[in-house]
Amino acid sequence: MSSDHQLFLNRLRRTRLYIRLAQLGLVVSFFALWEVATLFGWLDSFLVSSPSRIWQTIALLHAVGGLYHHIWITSLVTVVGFVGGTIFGTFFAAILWWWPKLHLTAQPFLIVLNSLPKIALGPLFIVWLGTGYVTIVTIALAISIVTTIIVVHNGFTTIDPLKLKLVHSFGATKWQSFYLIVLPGSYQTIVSAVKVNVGLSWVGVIAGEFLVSRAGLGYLAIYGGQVLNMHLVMTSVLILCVAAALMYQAIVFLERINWRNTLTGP
Amino acid sequence: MTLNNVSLNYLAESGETPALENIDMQVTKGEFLGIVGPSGCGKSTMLSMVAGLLLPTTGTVTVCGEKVTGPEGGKSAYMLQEDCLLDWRTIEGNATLGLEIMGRLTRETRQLTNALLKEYGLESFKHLYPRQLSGGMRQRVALVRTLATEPAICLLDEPFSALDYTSRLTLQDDVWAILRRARVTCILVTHDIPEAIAMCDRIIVLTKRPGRIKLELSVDLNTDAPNPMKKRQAPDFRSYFSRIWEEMDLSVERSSALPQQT
Repeated sequence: MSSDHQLFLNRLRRTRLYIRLAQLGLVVSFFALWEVATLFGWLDSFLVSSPSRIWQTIALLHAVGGLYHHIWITSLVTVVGFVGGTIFGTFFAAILWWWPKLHLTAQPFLIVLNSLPKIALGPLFIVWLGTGYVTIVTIALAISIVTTIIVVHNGFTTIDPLKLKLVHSFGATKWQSFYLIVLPGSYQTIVSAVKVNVGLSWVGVIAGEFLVSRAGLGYLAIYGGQVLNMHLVMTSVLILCVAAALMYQAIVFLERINWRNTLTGP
Repeated sequence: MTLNNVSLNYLAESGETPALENIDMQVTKGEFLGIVGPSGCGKSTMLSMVAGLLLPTTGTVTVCGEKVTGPEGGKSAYMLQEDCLLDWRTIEGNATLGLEIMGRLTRETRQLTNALLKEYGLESFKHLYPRQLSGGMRQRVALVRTLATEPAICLLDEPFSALDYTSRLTLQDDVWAILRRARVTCILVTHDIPEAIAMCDRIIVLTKRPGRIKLELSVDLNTDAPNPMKKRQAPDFRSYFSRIWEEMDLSVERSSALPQQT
């Protein structure tokens, strides 16, 4: 390796290190400032809580044993929400791809459904489906499914026409052109739909838990708010941040594994 | 293969566009036919009709004595502007795509495909993915995919137009040699006149839309050049070029006097 290249690599590595340090520094100083501000009474810890009180709350929940149950319930429902939203959305997108006239007919209704704030349907779902997790999952599904249909259908219809011409010339049936070209060719579109759906599903689940639940991070937050226990609210918000970020990273990780497999072969 | 008094009109909301008019032509087994003409003259449309992707408005298309009524694998196979390899399939998976679609993927046809891959120097790459191959190699894979289905006619729809000049010349030699050795009947559609002269036995020149046959001429360069690259140096090459160029040029001039409508 030439010394120039070595120098270049060192500089690159140093830049990356500085960025990481800056990020870490921001987090640490945010919490430190928060703690100090409440300690000296610049901020009212009753209203904004404080890192040490959050830590105590976590320890308390851990001791009582409810903490993991709440995290588990909310994460599970979220996963069901975005997996379901993606699968059903892709399924309906496939149906609309299969029958273009159906798509043309459905288009204005899809637009209406897409612009409708799905949370407004919450009361309907509660009456129809009760106050259990079915309702929460349904709200999460309702939020993600319409965008999934629109985005994935758009991916299906913008597949390279030459590739379709190729398989048609081999005499491919519609089903063959779907599973050989259209579906695998839309892999990237579906993956980005999944990423968007993770976020939407969290929104749906937390909103659903605000409305009906007896467990979960959304329930902790709304309960904390009702009894004016801001430590509990902040705790659930903080855990939510971590859980959502971890879930997103998991998706990115899965995507990368798959990509590496196709690059180097099985 | 025959086209018997074939015409085709494209229908759209804005009206009816005649694309081809009264086309009569024959291709004999093992022949390499070139179709040249100004862009938009219906060259590619002709191939689509041979492949059965489009049906003529009037007239009939016959391949191997049977009337073409729809796309049917095995009779004709395409080689398109781009290699159209599927990124998510291995080289072997791409090469067997046509056979798989036709439901003809057996151990014998798989062996035949592997033999073709080996013949064209692709054997050691067969478990790799398209993005790991160079442009020329990718086109060769596309050619194997076409030949593996053992088509009666090979339809080349401007197969080199997406390549840079050097790779185009190299690949013309490659593809020509492969197709000649396989003794496949070929129809090459191109707007590159030298390419047609260097590769084809016979050339048909079409007029501007609606496409009609303007000139049909057999290419005999009086040379024993072993490949298209060498054929370009034949003394008669230039006269063929100017002959075809004049025919094309006239039709371009005449149509440019009219308002363009595309």
